[in-house]
Amino acid sequence: MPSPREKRLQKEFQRMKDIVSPHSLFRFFCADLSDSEAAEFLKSQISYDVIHQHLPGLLEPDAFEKKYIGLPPEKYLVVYECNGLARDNDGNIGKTAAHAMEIVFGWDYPSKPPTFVWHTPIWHPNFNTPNICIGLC
Amino acid sequence: MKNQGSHLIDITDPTQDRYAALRLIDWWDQERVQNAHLMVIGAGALGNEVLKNLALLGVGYIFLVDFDTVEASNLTRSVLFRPEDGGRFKAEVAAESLHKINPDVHVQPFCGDVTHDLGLGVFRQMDVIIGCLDNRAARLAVNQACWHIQRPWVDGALDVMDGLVRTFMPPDDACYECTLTEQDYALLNLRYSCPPGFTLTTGRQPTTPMIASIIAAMQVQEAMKLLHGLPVSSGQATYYSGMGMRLTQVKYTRRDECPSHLMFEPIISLPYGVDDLTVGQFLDLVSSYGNGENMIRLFLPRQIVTVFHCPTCATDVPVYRPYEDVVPVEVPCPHCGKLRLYSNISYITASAKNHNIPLSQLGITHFSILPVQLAQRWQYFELSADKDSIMNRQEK
Repeated sequence: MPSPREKRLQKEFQRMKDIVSPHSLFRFFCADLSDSEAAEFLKSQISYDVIHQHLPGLLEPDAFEKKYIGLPPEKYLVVYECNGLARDNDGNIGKTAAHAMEIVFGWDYPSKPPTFVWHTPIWHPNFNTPNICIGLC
Repeated sequence: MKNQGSHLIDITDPTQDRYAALRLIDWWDQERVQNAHLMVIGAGALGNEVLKNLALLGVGYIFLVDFDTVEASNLTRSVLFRPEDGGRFKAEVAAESLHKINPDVHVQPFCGDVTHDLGLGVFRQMDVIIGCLDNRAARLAVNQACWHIQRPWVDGALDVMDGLVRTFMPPDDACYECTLTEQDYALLNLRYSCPPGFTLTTGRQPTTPMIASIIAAMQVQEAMKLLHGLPVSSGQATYYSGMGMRLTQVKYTRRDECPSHLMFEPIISLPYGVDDLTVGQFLDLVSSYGNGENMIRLFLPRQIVTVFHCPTCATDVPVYRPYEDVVPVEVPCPHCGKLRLYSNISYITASAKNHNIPLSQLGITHFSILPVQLAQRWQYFELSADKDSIMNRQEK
């Protein structure tokens, strides 16, 4: 019998799947990265080549469901493909089109909110990589 | 009502037996009280009064939890503290005073925070847990612990002239978390997200020794009923209004999706303590209890940051410490000062490379019970070798 936490995570998974469409500006992956994969991931410039070739623990939702039957994802990587602004190392502001955010659900979820880590450079009042201000905390 | 009417009253010599008057109560069983293990969480105004009563009754073992120290303003409501105790741990001072009141009582002080420092194994050794707390986060932690190992707990709360008592008896009826509203969760998260060095004002509510005695007395009476198997109404609050001299009862509604409703079963006792094992050793042990599952996950009580990566300096620093301990304080790179990326996890798998990390580094405390997912099954592993070091620690 799934625990209240697992039931809630399944519900979140369904909601994530429901809001993605072929036209949406973001996609998401279910992460079951080993520690070393996660470290590799931090070093990489986000690209689909990296995601598919080097990180077998990063799965599309349907692949995740096939591999972990009946289990909800505990960690997501959300990739946004939309234009934004980012500051380079010299402080110049330029255009950027790929953004990535990680969501991790703790053992104490849903009594406590998940943690969010923004991975990509961005120039925006609500972001200061890796921090995000979403009024949750 | 296991015992009512079936108990012979012992008539003892009141000049020799300090419990003579208690033994005259037809349902009272002094031996049961002497063998009881009770936990009291919080040694503030309420805790002092609860402890005083437990010592007078001769409760055999009291595990007392409080992380705070005595200050002058406690002295108006704390029968167990003296002016010269200022600056000492409340739990230790209270334990000494209780020993003077009744040397039959063994009090084990624990100077730590119930939300992070106390292993679930301790709760499992208790008959009843009494909450003398002043904040939601601690109540939530106690509630979840009591639900996991199915022990009753009696919560008390104080205002100036009013107070309330409520007993929760998992798995029946509503629990504390069932009563939480969206607003309560918002306030809880506000507390969790306090920046370092900033603490919410708790323990500073206006209150008197009178309301503390009234509420504490009701809590201890409920605890004694629980010990003796007398019927107790759980999942409801009894409000006491001192201005109107009224008692009001409110029944709570049980929430089926309440996150607290998780029973740890089965619990497997391991002959090791938290300091004896690395993550790798623990996972190896655990796999010997499995059916050859290839997916084994140790869920961590707190999220763990595994690595900091500085994109500017291109450096990686392994971390493996609790999220709240390192974020946001250690996020800036010590070399360039820019904010670093980090990776955090809620569980560790058997395939993880970092097998040599001690369990104690991962926010796991002594005498913990650790949730492990083996494919679709759950098993819970108690670090049982820690029992004596926590429950029968010799004071220096």
